[in-house]
Amino acid sequence: MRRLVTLDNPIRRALVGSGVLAVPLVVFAVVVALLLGPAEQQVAINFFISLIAVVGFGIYSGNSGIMTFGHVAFMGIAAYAGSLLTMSPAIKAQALPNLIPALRDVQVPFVPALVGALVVVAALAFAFGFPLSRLSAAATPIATLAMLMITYVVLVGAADITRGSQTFYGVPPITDLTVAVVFALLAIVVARLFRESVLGLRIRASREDELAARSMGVDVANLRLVAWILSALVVGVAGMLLGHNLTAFSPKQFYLTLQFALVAMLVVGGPTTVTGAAGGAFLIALLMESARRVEGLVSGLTLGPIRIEQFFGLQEIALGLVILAVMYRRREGLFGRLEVDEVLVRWWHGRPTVSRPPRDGDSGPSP
Amino acid sequence: MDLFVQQLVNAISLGGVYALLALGLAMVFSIMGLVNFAHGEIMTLGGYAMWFVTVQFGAPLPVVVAASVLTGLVAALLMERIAFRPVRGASVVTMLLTSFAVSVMLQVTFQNVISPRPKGVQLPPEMSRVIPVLGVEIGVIQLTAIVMVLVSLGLIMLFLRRTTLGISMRAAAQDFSVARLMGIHADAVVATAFAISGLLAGVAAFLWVAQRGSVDPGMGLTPIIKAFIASVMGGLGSLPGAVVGGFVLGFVEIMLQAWLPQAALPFKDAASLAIVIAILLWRPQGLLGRAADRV
Repeated sequence: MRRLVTLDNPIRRALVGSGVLAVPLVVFAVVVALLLGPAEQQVAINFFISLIAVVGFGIYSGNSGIMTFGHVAFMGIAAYAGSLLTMSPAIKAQALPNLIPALRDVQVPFVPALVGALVVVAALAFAFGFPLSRLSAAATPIATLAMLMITYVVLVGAADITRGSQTFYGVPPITDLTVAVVFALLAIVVARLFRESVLGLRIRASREDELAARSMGVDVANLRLVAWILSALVVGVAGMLLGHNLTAFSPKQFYLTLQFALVAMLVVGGPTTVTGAAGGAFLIALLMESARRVEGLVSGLTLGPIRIEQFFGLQEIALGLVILAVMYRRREGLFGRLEVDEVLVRWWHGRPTVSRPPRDGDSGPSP
Repeated sequence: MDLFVQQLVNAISLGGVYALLALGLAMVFSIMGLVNFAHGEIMTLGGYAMWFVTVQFGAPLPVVVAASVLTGLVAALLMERIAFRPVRGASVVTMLLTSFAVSVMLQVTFQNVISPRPKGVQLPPEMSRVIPVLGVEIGVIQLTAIVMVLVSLGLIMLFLRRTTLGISMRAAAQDFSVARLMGIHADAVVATAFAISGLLAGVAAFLWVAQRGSVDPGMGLTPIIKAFIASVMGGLGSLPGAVVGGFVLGFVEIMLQAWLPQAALPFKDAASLAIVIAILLWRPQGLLGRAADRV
């Protein structure tokens, strides 16, 4: 009995942890599906897609401790590449008259198209990741920003394939709540398995102290490359699902606004754990939906002499304030540095569940 | 030959703007480890100051320049005091995210308080004239840019080499904690770093807006991403590296603009950034950066 509770085996720990996390998610999905209308279901689908993206984003950023601003590029690439494979040739002939015939005539089901999209994502992730993983931890975020800009410029420029900055339309609506939930649970299992694996342990060690990890023989650059590619693949799945949920989109939707939301989700929940990524995705999705409704209420309102014609970007303001609050008050995120199963095990043994104090480099100036 | 000289002038004036921005970023980064995303919004504020004084008062050119530069200075100092003081000494990631949040919130504020659409900035017509210099036709704006960039860089260099505060800044950029142990006042050094970065952003804002004729809430984003990548290419944290990186990026962009075939022009920015990433593959620590600690 005692052995089961300590969860010594990493694979078992990953699976049990994913299971514990899956329960509230599945309950939430069932409640939404049974009790709420199509508008709320759409919000829930968006939440599950964001959750996949954030969990994928955390595979790299959370485990390595390096913030990045380029992951939505993989979402965009996967959405376009995957959609080109699932769309019917007739629609492609109409929307993309200059498409090469081989690509125009092909049409495959969702899963093979997903595999195709992920092959493209993996190639791109390797091409960018190889130089990126050799940079210092401070230079990497900037380089990922350059990567996002490159992808955006190429998506807009390659008008024969993407319709450029115009809306890309006619994608089959395949992503429903069930599909989104299934892939969300898969993403959580993959992220937990990687985190508990030997590679995950090593890269987390390099996050805590890069020099010490390297002196123990950890090949930090190549580990970061592996985590980067895995992370890109999971984020690519989110992009594929988003494309097949929106059915019409443009490159702008895979740019800084979405990246900002993902960063907020990862940071607010706590980047070091999968629990934090999932919890942060939920809280931020809730916050953004509330902000969206308030925005609708406020626009056109008259307050004494001031008339608010239209209020822009309440979502961004709310996200910004939440990020600042977390950075000023609770840098490891609301869910701390322990996975939910680790918290439960400690609670079972009557040990304190408070995470350990922040690291040296993370503490403010001493009083 | 004429064409080459003209492209050279374009490259120096564009690269100069990147160099000013990158130098400001590098100065703040080397002293407090902050990768300041909101640097672009300092530039945007400078642009709005130009719009305000030209539209409201029809101010003459020197006043427009002063407005942009002073606004940059004040904005940078306020930003440090209000937003970045609470995270001083925190990890690179914490400060990066703080500045990211500040940047987005400022952009939204501009959209709501001023306008989401571009505001035109009318400068005197002499600015857009072309004058012959040594037999080559050169735009007044490009010439102004080159002069202002060189003067700014020269003044910064004098300041860093000849004044006590400047020398303490260089010491702090090398090793902040040791510099503090030598009796250097942390607040003064950090405030000066922000002040200089704000001044440089103000100069860059003037040159940027003078060329484009308008200012909008997202104006700072593109130049700031380029300046970031320029400072990484030069060697993040190295002040000369930032300047070199800025000029190299300017050259690459102008040369691509001149030589890329028409069909490939939409991909110009992607190509220049890809070249920078290729340079980083060859020298991950940047052109003038120090190699990472060896184990």
